[in-house]
Amino acid sequence: MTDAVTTREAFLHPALFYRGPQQYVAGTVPFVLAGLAAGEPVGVAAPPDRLALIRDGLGPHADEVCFVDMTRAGRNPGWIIPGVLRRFADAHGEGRVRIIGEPIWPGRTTVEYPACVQHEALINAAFTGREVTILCPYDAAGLDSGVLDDAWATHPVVIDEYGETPSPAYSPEAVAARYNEPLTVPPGAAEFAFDSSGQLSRAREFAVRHGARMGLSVPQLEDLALAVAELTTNSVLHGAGGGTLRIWAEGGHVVCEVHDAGRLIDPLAGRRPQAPSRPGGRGLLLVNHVADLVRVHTGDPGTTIRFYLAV
Amino acid sequence: MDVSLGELSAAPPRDAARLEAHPLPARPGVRVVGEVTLDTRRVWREALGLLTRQEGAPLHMELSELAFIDVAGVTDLVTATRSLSEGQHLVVHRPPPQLTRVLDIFWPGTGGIEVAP
Repeated sequence: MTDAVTTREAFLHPALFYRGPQQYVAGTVPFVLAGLAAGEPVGVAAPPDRLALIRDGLGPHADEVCFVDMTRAGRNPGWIIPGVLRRFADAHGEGRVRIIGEPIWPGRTTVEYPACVQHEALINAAFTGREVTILCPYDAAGLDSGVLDDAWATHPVVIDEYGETPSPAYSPEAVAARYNEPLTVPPGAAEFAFDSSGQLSRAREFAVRHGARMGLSVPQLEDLALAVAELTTNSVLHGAGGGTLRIWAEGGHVVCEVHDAGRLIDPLAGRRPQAPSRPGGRGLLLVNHVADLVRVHTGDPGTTIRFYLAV
Repeated sequence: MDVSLGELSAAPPRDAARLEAHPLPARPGVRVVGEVTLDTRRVWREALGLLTRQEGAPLHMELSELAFIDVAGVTDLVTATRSLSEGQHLVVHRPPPQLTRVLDIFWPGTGGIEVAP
């Protein structure tokens, strides 16, 4: 495999298209070993069966690598940049850091998938100029061809069994915009309109009452209250002074969203870890942390931020 | 220095969250009643400001009647704690679950704030 680290860009973000365990090991293990040989910190975040393949392939060197179960830590794609990738990269200040991040696997649902693509697209903006290499494996045998097409758009380089190809389709902003899909609300969703006149407490209590009725645990209800407080506060401060809270049950989840007339202009909002001394900027980060999935739509009708909690 | 912590309270519009802060009778600190949200942020910050200027160590916050605190409220608490002088620290008594949750997420292992159940 060509060692991508020899190129000039500071941030490197190749996709690896693999077919079967053998190609997976061939595409990842030498990448990890090259990093270790260069003295780079190496982290691997992937589904558990993939972690096992890499661990076995590394043998005794596995002890030098940080392994993360992406199906848990990265179940919400919106949390992968702050909670997995930057958490690892920021913990190792000096010199290049090398990461394998596999955020998309067969079994990601159609509800999760747009958030996965947006995450992959935003990695480029989040790490521009940083001495970081993030290799993203894609199961070319198990994923739809449309998923691979999207990976060509979100990665400047694609590696497969034939070698390394600069992507002629690389266009992260365009693909992120394409997956900025309007979010429909099912009939029967409970709805609460709030404005700036001090209704945040009632909005929160409304959500918690419905969340309890739909089966959330006590700790989940506490997270629900926090997330609703952050989103409704954002609407009052930045989203035309108020908005609409909706909550319903869907496919084993409690789904809650806040819609307002504002427009989200910072695509990395909620994905930047904040230094401990920074006074603000943690509201959306909190929502990304506590939720099992976050979906966002922003456009002319305003902004909707929708989060899922598994019952 | 004798800083007296007067009775602080928000004068909320209808439906709004309330927040009151009362000095503790027997030790340096405050008892806070209500909830910390956008609507009560001003009172919360004033209470923290007066608290951190009190003498005697450690400082205490009795929070068993605090029903809720948002992320910005916890951030204010952390910021206030960082301004404490060497050797001073803050004990928060019976905080709402959101306070410990937000501390664990954003300031794990933060010194200066001791949580007493």
